[in-house]
Amino acid sequence: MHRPRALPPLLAGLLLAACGVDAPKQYRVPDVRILAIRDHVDPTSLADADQDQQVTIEALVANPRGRAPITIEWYGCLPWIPSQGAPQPACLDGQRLAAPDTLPSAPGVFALGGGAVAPGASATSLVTLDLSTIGPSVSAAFDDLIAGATWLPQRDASLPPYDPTLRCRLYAEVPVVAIARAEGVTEVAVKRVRLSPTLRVRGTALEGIYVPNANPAIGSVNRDPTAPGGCAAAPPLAAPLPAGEITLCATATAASPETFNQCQVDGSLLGVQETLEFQWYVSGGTIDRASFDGNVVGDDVRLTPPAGPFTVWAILRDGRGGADWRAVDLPAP
Amino acid sequence: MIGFVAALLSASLLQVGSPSAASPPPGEPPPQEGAPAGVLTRSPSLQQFIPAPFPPEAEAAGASGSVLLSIVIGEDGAVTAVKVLDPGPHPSFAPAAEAAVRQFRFLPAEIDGKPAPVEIEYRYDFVLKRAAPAAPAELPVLLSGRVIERGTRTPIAGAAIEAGGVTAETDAAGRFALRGLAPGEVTVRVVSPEHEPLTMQETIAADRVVEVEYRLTRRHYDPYEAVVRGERPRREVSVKALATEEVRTLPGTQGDVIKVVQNLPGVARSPFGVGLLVVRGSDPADSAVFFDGVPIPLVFHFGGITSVVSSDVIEGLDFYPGNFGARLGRATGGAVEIRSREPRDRFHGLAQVDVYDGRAQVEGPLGGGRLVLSVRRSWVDAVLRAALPKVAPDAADDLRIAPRYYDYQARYSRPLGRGTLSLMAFGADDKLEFVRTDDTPGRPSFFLGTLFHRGAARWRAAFGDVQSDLVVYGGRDSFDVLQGTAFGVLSEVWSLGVRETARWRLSDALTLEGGIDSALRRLEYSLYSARPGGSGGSVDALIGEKATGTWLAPGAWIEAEWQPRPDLRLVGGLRADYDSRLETARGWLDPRATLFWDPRPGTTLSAAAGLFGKAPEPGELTALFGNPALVPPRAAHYAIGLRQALPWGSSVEATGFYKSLWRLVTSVDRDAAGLDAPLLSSAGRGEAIGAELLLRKDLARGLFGWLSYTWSRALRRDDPSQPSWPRWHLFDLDQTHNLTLVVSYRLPGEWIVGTRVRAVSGNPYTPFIGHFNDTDTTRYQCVASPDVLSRRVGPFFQADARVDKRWVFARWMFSMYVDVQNATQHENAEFRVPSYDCTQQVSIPGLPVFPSLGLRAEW
Repeated sequence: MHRPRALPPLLAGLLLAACGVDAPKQYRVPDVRILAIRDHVDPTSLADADQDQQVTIEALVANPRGRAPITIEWYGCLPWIPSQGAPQPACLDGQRLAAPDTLPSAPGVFALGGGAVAPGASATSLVTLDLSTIGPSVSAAFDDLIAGATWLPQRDASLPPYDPTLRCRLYAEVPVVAIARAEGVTEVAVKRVRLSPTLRVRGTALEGIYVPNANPAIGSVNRDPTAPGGCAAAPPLAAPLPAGEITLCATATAASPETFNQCQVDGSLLGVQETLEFQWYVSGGTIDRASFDGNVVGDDVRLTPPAGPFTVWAILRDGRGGADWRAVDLPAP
Repeated sequence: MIGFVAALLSASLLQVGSPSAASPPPGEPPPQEGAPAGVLTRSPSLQQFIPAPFPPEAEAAGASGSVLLSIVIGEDGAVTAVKVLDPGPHPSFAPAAEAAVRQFRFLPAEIDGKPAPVEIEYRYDFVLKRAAPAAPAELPVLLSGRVIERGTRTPIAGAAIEAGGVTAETDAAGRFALRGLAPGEVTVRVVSPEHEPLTMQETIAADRVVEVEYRLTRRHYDPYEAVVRGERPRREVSVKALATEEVRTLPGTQGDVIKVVQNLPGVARSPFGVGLLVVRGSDPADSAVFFDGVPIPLVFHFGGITSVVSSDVIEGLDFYPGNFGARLGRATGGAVEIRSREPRDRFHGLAQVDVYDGRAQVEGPLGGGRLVLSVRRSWVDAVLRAALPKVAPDAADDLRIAPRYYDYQARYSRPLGRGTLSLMAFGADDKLEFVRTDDTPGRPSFFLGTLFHRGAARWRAAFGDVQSDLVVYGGRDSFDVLQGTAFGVLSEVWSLGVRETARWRLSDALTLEGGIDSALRRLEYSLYSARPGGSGGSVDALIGEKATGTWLAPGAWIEAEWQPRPDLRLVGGLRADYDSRLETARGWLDPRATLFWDPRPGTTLSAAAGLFGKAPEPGELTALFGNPALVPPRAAHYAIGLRQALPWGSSVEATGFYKSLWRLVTSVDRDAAGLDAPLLSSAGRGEAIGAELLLRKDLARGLFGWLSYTWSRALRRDDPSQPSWPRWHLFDLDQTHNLTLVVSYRLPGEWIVGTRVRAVSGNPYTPFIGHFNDTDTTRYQCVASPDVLSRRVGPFFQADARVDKRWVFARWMFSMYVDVQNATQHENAEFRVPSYDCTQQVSIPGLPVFPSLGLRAEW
């Protein structure tokens, strides 16, 4: 076994961090950007949908320059069934996403709608995915999932090979693409909407093994936490701000972290709690603790605010496709 | 006043093996141009000294002085050529010295253990002395003592002692006795061929013996001062030999002989912080490294800081960039053979520290044999522990084990039967670990551990016309990588191998070589990884593989060297290998041939062609991360070469090569081939073409160096599942131009100065044509251009400088060096990293100006 060739990038990352190479920072949002996409099954907070359900998909669009108009186009792709040799969906094909005008005409792509985004530094775009319109594809994907995760005494060649670890991954994905356009700016973002056959496996050996995901929820976004109360006892992030550096922090609701099953190598199940992660964006100012590419995650981060008004975005993710966010517009300190 | 020939002589090995570089006197046949490299294993020593008569005209003029000569000593010990380099202060000295030296007899030098011609520099001193009556033997000894070498304390045999007209010579233990000296003040002069003369004042008493110890300073303290290009017939179109003492002071290499290989033609520059041996467009894993015939799994410690074998136990190495002989196998790129040196027969030791590591070494006689033991450990971890909190506090918090390495080498040699038995042990251990507070126990954020141990017994013996070299070895390799709960590899390989090389000289025209090269291996591994295809970041399913397997990899080879005419030589061989672990294509045959033609003395033309194969790496044959159905990668090497000896111990060598590669192990695009497809296939193709030039000045008169230039183009074709298929693209370490200048000069007073200058094309990279925000991963995804590796980073330029100084004390020596890498502070882009949104590619600079200091004590 030889050394991994992945080591150089790791070292490069360390060097980049150590040398302070000047590169654009992900946390700083100077112009139009789609920061996050989430979905939920109407009217619940469930992020995972089942067959024939209605799913609302929502994009968080940052527009710190106040560009107008900004339009959003939404597209979806049929679920991928890789065991049947299907090619990767166009909605996940990098070549098409790099040239988004080619996406609508690609096989397996369907339009979801779109329209103009409301003005303001922070806005959202909503669209509805009616899974009944792609019912046969979803059904075929569920058949494939269930067959792969179920031990059958006589498996014929048309079935995917049995894999007990698939019990913990009993979901198909509908890739969804949002394309934001403003004058001279095109931003593309991708979200995979999870579909889980909860009803189909009820009463079978697969019931309850995969835990459908619900979106987490942000409890509060505050500043300058101090012991012993921590962030929950800290003042909310709102005007007026004190002069100088501030510490941003956020909390998730108690119900946010769910427990799901992780299939081990030997096929056994391990209950694992979701790791909730806050990601931070600002339209101005400097955050001191960023990774080498400028991505900022953490429960609390230190911000040196800009001289003028600015916006802070806190995005909470659960690692299983669920998300929540808050945007806070702030005046000059 | 009458003339007295003091017969003072001094010899320093000037340059060996390129006798053609010395101009032979008219009427004498020119020395044979030897092609290959070999290493001087014994310096010549004077056995029969012929005194020169003191020229009467010089005596009449009252002249004294020295004549500097260059002499060629044949493999029989006779002087075959003499050239006057400095005639001295009187014109009559040079003819007298030349006539005397031509009658000298030497114990010949040895190259690779065989007598060989060498050229040395020799000083003949003429000293005018008042004649004194010969001392009767029965007169008492009033002055006696011992002559030893300063620094090393080695007794000096054959040194001439002269005092008050009385002379004596030291015995093998360095002892001497002068009889019949007159009491009073006397000047004592001590001379030895390889040392600076010593003059002392002594007070001789009539009633007691004065016991003294004289310490002579060696003219040069490098035990091997030259490299031989001479007598061992070369069997490859291109082989580069490096002797440790020749290259250990080259700038930018930290005295590491193996790192010097990276400055030779055909070797791509390895990026800073990555230790790779990229030979003629081959993947680093496709080149093999042998230490005394034993294959070793890795060459460099973590980050390419230094090699895994201390240069203090290395006699030299041979580097084969391609078309190597049939005795070397299981490699489709190049090969490096490292030779350890014999331990010395007296107790010695050394301690060395530099910015990277510290080492200690002891050697000496033990139980009828000789032992050398060397140990080295890094302190990069300590340096980073001090520096990281200042430059990267986050990383410092998480770093549990900074890059840490150690290595060791031990060799014990003693006569056994008709030959010499050597017992060897060597190994290396590297570790790096990052642990965060929220890591799962036993699953650190990142852990890398590589380790190997080897034990070997080697017996070299002669049976009539047959020479045998038998190596039996065993060892353990370990390779562990953990990356949190998402990925882990734990593997161990146990090996038991045997190599036997038998050489049988059938006649002057025909020599046969043959042998076996076989290994039994056992692999234990366990792998785990997040099941691919998930989204969101959480690991919801792990997949893994755990297996144990034993397999046999026998190999055998035969090679014939036929010389039908003095100017024509053909080397042809056949190698057969087998690997029982493979599912298909378990065996392969590698025929190889090389033709040499010497159209005139000093000129050699050569051409070679051959097939080469190797088994896939064990990790590549796993079901989870590789493909058990892989077949052996294959290569065809073609090369033509010209080697021309030049005056002043120089030579120029030009080589053209073409290499075709097929069945290369290459990645499969699962997005196209399906998630259940194997990750690897044997569908890769490759080719490399290039030209290499090496202008080399062997070590002579203190000057040593080379100019190396390589033009090459290496291409690859990926698996058909990849978007790039069927187009060919550049190899990821392809470097069109690679120019290296290395110069080292030895000044009087044990100073050495040197420089290394490198100018190399930048490495290829694949540009990005777009991006999208993957909101499930919180990261932007860069969309790579289908034109894979179609652009290059900027060219690389670096100039290094080094100064060495050695102080020689009575019983030990102390050395210091300052090595300044990138002395001109040229900023080189080593890597390119995309910005978060892929709209920019940020260049990661390489090494800034980096001075390092090394200290070394030897006793």
